Amino acid sequence: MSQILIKNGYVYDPLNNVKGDVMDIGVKNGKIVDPSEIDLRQAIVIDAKGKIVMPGGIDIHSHIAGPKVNTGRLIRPEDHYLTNIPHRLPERRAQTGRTVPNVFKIGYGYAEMGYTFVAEPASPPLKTRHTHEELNAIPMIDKLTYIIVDSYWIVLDLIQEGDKDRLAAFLGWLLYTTKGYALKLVDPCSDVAWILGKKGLDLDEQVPGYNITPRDVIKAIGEASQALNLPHPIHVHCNKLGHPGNYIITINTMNLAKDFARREEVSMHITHVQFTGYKGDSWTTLESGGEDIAKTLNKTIYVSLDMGQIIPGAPATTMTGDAPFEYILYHLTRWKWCFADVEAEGAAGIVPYRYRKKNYVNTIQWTIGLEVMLLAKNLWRVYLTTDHPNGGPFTEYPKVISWLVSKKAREDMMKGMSQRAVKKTALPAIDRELTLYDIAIITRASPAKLLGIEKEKGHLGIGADADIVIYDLDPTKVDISKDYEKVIRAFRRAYYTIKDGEIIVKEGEIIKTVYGRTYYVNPEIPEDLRNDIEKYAKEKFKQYYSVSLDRYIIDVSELKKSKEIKVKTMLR
Amino acid sequence: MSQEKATFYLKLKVRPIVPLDCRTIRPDNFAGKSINDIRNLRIYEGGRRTVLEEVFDVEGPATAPSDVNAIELVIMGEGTRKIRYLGYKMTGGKIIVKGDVGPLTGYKMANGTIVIEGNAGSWLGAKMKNGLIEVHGDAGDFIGAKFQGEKPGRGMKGGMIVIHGNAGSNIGAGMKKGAIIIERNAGNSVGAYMIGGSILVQGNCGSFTGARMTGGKIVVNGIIDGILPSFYVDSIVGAAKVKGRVFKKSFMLFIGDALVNGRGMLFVAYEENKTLLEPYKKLIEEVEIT
Repeated sequence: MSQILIKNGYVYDPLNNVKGDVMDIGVKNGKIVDPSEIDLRQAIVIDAKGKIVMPGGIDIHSHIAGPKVNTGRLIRPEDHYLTNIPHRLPERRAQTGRTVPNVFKIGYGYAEMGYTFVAEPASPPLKTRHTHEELNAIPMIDKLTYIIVDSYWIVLDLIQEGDKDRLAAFLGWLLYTTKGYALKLVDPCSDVAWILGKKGLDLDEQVPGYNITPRDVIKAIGEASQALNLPHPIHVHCNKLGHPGNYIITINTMNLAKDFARREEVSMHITHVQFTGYKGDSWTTLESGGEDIAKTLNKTIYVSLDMGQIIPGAPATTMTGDAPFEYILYHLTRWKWCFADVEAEGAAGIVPYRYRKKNYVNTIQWTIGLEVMLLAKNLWRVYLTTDHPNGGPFTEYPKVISWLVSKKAREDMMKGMSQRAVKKTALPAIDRELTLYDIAIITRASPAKLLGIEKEKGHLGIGADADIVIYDLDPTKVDISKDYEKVIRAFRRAYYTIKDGEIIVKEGEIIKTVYGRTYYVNPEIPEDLRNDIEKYAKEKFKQYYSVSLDRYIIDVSELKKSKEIKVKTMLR
Repeated sequence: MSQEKATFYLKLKVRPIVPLDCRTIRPDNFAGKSINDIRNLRIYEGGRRTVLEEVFDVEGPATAPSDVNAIELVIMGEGTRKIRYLGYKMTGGKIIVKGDVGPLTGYKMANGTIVIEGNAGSWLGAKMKNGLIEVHGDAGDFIGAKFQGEKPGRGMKGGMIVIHGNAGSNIGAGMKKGAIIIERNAGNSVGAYMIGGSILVQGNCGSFTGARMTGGKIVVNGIIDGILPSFYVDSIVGAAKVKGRVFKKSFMLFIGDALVNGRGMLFVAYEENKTLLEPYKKLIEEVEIT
């Protein structure tokens, strides 16, 4: 394998506390090594003078694979017109699509922006085989998938029975069976209610057919996740998403995290908080709940958030396992809607949408994500996402970065937006501007920590995986808060992207197609508990499913390149 | 600025066997350029990038006038059917094709004139904003239409398309304004998803006419295969008017499409389609008996 030496770059590496120091970085055999170990006669030397060097970006929430993405491609042919980029073999395959691009565009788009690790956040266990097939086909990036368990009948049965160990063992078994990485809750239990004709559940409403509430479900699954000692805590998409006045539910959900935390660290991740931070009684009186959510976040240490920032002016395709919300959105947009029901596990919907700059509601939505991010005291617990493709395509991340680092960028954007809405929010009064080091935290270091992969990803210390990105931006010469256009340009096209010690992007152009690994967890479950759970699952499968259990299990050989994370659980 | 017309003749050198992406062939790209620059315009032959003079013999004045409207392009030769995207986004001038032409001619055209002396392919004048397209032969499907999957109203936004022969299906799908005139027969789904504008079919027409239309006007002078059940019978009128042309004969006026609360008007010639009203007449009789 080739050796690479990156010389004289301004290095931003928050996990090792490097704040823009000029350093050399050596790469050998796909790992980062001490620069003195590099043999200069064989090495490729990259002169990064006047450029910034960061670890490869990590996106913790982006819908990139699975049956819903594929259905999104099918119902949106207009998303693909005039977006085709022909192939240039052998280094690059053909690309197409904007909000629901083809697999190659996803991989290349991320690599061009300097991202090397992406998490697919919602896959119903039954459909996870498809998710893995698509993840296998996505080039350039490492990936993983979360498993939706909130409306899963067997899980709800176990919660109702009240045996915590068996629930944890079942979830651990399920994660290994489907090669998932973490547990995802999508609008807890609302899909169970939806199938019976109820449009969404509040946190304390009874789940139809069961003697439990979504609050119990979040707690029980949170406890199970803690007992299994999973590297990523439960990933919660809050109840009543997209309903005005739902910020109270979000805050109540955040307060639950303390109840089941076993250690003094994050035990719950609230995702795309922008969609669940609405104050007010109706769409016409909508206000931003971002301030209140940020206050709650600053009070606790057990919760982390991601923005779910929307991009006004860019097309979006909303796709979520929160089927009742999509039904409501369809009636707002009155265009097209696709709905799917996954037997015994949940439901999903897809509705194309376009966020408009002049729209009152969309302007409020735009401010919420930014408010949460800018008012958070601890940046290690907030993450940059657009919930691709729900808030906007991931290719717009550089724009979000520019709004975070520059007040001028926000003001320029606000000029073109609904002034009635802007006046009602706290955003114009916020002066905070993030630095490049802060950006490195929210897009690299803290996501790695949240996913529990901080040993090998998200930093540039010796022994880490050689996922490195160089951006053509000189922090000593460019004032990023004024010349935010330069920030956008630099972050849109990485100068160099290095994945596992191989140069894949050079000056914004793809020069090589590589394939990353799929991460999954293998929680250790005691033998007798595992046998008990397998027997239980077999019986339940006969009762609930149209497939047999043998067809449900995904073998490791079905993943193209995989990496197992062994987890020592607290189960007896 | 000279007001004299400058005519360029583009003749295909050999009969092409792959599609030619000719979106650069429009008067806007010719205006103010020397003939050498024009010969070096970029076009695609299949997937291969090439220049205009590799494929066409270009003849014309040494420099093109800077006024777009003074430029006339004449395209001829054997195999013009392989040309697509002709007149893409053109804002003025005139293009004459002495032969057939392929799909997507006049796509997003903003102004000017395109005359096709042979047949035209599908998606003729798709999403056009203004201007005139005239076809002396037949035309394909999706004339003046939106693309599949887009919202109603993203189709033709203005201008006029005249087809002297037959046309295929989905004529004016999703159109917003403007007019399409078909002198002979048309296929199925004429005016589907349209929200405005007018379509005249002088000959016969297929099924599903005006499916999901919310506005606009469709006039059928010949025999229609059937009316969708989601259309109301409004009245029988003595005349129909399209773009200044008045047809003085009896027309049945239908309003629809009720599926989308539409207010589109569908005029169908009465004499040719007398049987259409039979089911409704029966209904009235039944009501009168009881």
